Amino acid sequence: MKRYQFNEITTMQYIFLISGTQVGIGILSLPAQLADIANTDGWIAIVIGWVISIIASTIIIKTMEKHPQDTIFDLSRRYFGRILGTIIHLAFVGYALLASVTVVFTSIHITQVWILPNTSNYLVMVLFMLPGFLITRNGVRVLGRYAEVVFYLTLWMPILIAIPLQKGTVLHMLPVLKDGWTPIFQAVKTTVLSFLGFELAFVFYPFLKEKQHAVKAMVIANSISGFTFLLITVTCFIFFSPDEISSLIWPTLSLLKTIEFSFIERFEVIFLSFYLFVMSTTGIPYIFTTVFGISQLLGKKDHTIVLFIAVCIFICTSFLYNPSFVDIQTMGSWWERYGLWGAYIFPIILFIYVSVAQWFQGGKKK
Amino acid sequence: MKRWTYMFLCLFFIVGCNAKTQLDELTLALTVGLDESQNGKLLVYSISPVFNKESENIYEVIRTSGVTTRDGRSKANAFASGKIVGGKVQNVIVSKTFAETHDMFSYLDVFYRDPKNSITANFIVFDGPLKKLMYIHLKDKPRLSVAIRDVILTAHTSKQTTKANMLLFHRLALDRAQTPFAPMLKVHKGDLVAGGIALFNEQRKYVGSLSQTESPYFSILQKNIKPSTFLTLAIKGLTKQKEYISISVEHGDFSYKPSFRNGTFHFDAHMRLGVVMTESTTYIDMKKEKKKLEKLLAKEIQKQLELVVKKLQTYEVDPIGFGLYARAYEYKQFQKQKSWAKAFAKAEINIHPTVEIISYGVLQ
Repeated sequence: MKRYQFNEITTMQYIFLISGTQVGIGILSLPAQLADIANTDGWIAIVIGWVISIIASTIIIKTMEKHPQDTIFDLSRRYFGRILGTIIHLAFVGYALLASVTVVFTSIHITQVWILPNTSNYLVMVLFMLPGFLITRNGVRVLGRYAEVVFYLTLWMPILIAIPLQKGTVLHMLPVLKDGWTPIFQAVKTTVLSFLGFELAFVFYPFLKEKQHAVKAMVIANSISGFTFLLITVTCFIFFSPDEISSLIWPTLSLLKTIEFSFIERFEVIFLSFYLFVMSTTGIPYIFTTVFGISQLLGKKDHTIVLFIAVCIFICTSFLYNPSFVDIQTMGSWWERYGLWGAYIFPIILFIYVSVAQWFQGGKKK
Repeated sequence: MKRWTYMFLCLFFIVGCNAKTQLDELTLALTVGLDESQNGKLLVYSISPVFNKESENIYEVIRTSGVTTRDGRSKANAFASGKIVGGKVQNVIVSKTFAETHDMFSYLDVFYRDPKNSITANFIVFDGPLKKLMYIHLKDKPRLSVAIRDVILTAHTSKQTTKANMLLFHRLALDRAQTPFAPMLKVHKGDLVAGGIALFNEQRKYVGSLSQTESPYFSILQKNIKPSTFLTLAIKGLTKQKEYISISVEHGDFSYKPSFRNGTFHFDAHMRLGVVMTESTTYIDMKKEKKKLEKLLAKEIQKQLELVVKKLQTYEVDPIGFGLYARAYEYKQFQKQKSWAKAFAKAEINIHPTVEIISYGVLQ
């Protein structure tokens, strides 16, 4: 029996949902973080990170294939019993909550720094939460459609990157392998974390209509994200000098700041306003996962009420608390530490555990 | 219920109207100048257009003194006719004497740190006290900020000076392999004159300049030829008398090959220049003597380029970016250098230009 028949998404929507979750706030600071560790060899780390994330997401799909109608929330209950299962359930909800809080507050902070310095953060929060609420309320299908529309809407953005690319110097990239492989492997950790987002396959896989394409879809989604990261990073490395780039916090935005037309200045404002769409495709799936997880825990079918309460809490929080940049960085590092476990180590353990358990049960399918 | 939602939304969107600003209530600083007063205080000048029809001047100049650039601007708000906005800055001008004694980078920090500020503004060094520039009377020119920008851009196109925006200055100042440079501007007989290139050392202090006649050679070394670079060369030895030949360099192929031998860097700079002859003060039989003339031109260009490079080496600056090549191809040795500028000063640079005359006009 299909549990989510009225909420199925196509393979395309699934691809854009996953890659939309991956490409988000991280890309704005990724080039600087990479340059900090591995100098201009950072792009090699992206390629390695891309391979690792494909492996990890394939493992997730292979685990989920064993019970195609189950999300991680059902799966944890099924294999770990009531108490342990609930703990894993809560941990995953906690992870999604942390991710959504980080994404939302980082987006607000960036908006305030670059576009709306005089606007209070709760106003921006309300503006973010209104569309967020409307999209999340309608479930995975609308989420998928939204991700697809946003992808098409933002196709013009990479073309813009070509403008600063012309003014750069390829000499900055040379020599390849400046200080050997050690710093590159150190930088892999950073890139692996920018690929975070595929772990939501744990939640979205049951909604996928054509499940035979799932692995292919994950590879494509990861490749779209990987290509985007590579494009931005290489452009930043070519445009900024190697010593300069680590002095910037958001090199991607600084890069766009240099684009100037005779009829428009501060082009990054327009870009960033559009980029809010991209950021929303990162934040909304995490908010959905949080809300969906909580309502499953409470045994509710409809997640609208939980979502409403969550949105209210978000807005109230922003009234009382305006995180500084240091707080946001701390939040980000928590998310990354948690994400390393949640998206890379946990799936492997789960896969082994599920396989062994099934083997003991003699291949009997429930 | 729905109506109330819409009304609430409408109210919500007018929140921003509270902080509205009207253009004629703003003082748009188009040019910012930094100088030092006689008692060592920082002087911050700003030029902004005046939109008021009743006022006589079309721009106003505000001078304040402060501890930092931003501090100066805050004080300027006290007597500017509107709220000062820095996002439209087109030129950032520092006086030569100020740049000689202060690390420029720390004074420009506000332009980079505050995202509201424009970083594509031109960075210019002014030869003389800024007072002279700020209170100049230009009857036949547009507003001063526009005039400054136009003068610099025109001079840059004809290679009489160079162009450097704040972004480039930032890159050159932070990169270990290069040093910053900037166009020079001066006031001569009540007129704005752009010419020459100011050179900054690794401490981002002004150390010296290239003259206007050296500027085209500087842009050739930078591989910045287009649109054509004009050179007038004095050539002896073709005929018995002293002759001048003017050429315009149309295109060029460059290869800078670094190597590291016996503790110094060597650069083999090969360049093939395609030139068009535009003027010759004596008669030359081009059919017979084209090859010979090409060689003589190449030799003269080589001499001039070597002089420019020598000058850069004596100042211990590398605005051309030989360091980029050293880093890209001799990374290990480059990393060992404590200061690239010092290593560059000791480097041996061989320039081998070859000249090809594409055309010599409509005269035989």
